Amino acid sequence: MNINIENYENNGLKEQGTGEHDKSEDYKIVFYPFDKYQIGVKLTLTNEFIEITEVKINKSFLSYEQKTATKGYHDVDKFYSEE
Amino acid sequence: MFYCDEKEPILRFGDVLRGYVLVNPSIKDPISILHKNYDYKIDVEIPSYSVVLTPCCSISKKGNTTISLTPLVRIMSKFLINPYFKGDLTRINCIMEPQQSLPSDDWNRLSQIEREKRSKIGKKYACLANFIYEKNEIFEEYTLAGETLRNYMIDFNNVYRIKCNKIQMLGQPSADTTINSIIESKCLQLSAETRTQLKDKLSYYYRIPEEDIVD
Repeated sequence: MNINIENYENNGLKEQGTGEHDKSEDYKIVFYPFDKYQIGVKLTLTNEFIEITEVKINKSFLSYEQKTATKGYHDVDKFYSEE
Repeated sequence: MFYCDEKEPILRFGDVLRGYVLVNPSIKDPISILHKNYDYKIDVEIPSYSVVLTPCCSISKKGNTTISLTPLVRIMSKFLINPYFKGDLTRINCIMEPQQSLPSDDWNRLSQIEREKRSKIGKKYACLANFIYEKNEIFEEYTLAGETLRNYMIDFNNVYRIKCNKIQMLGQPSADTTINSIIESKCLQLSAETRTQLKDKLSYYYRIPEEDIVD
């Protein structure tokens, strides 16, 4: 069987790219908000836990509780208006 | 303690200053492409005192020459109708129970449905655009509804800005003694606690509108 070694290696490199990597089709990374952090979790395609990939600051600084805490005020201006 | 005993030789958020020109433009209508109506006027005055509304970190930013100010004005006489406010006018600066936000007569005149609706809100701010400055000996005394007062207030709706090249020299070692004119214009500095109250209320004034909150 004739195998073109040069093409074989090139094709392999084309598929793999360069540098350290995983096979992207084997897992997915999902980010979960936790307090002021976002936790990156690697899961299998059937949602089985593999590992925590990263912990980063949640840049949407206001949590839902903080956002809702900014709702409402006592609308009393008409009672104190001097016009 | 509302004010600091010792003033720092820099400008800070909430500082009371003296000697800054207030420019107040007003228009009859916006100038449109079709109707070029240049009916406007610009009033210039020098308020007795103004308050710094630029955050401390922005004032000291390298090259900054501009600050936002708002004039200190007399309080609204109707604040004195509310016994809760009259007892200590700086209560207006903090969150309060719904019943405390109104004189009891006005509260009782509300419909049952309106009272229940207001009660559900819980402890929140009232008079959102106003922040009261505690009486101080430097402030001129005035009489309002039979009361002698030295409290003044600011209105977040009434903010102006002013440019002065000497602002950028604040906090930097300089042989130029004329910089002292900025420091000398500073009359009072808020305590850290009061400055936080002012920051909290101003932040709430610029809060995210309810319709824009994503659940």
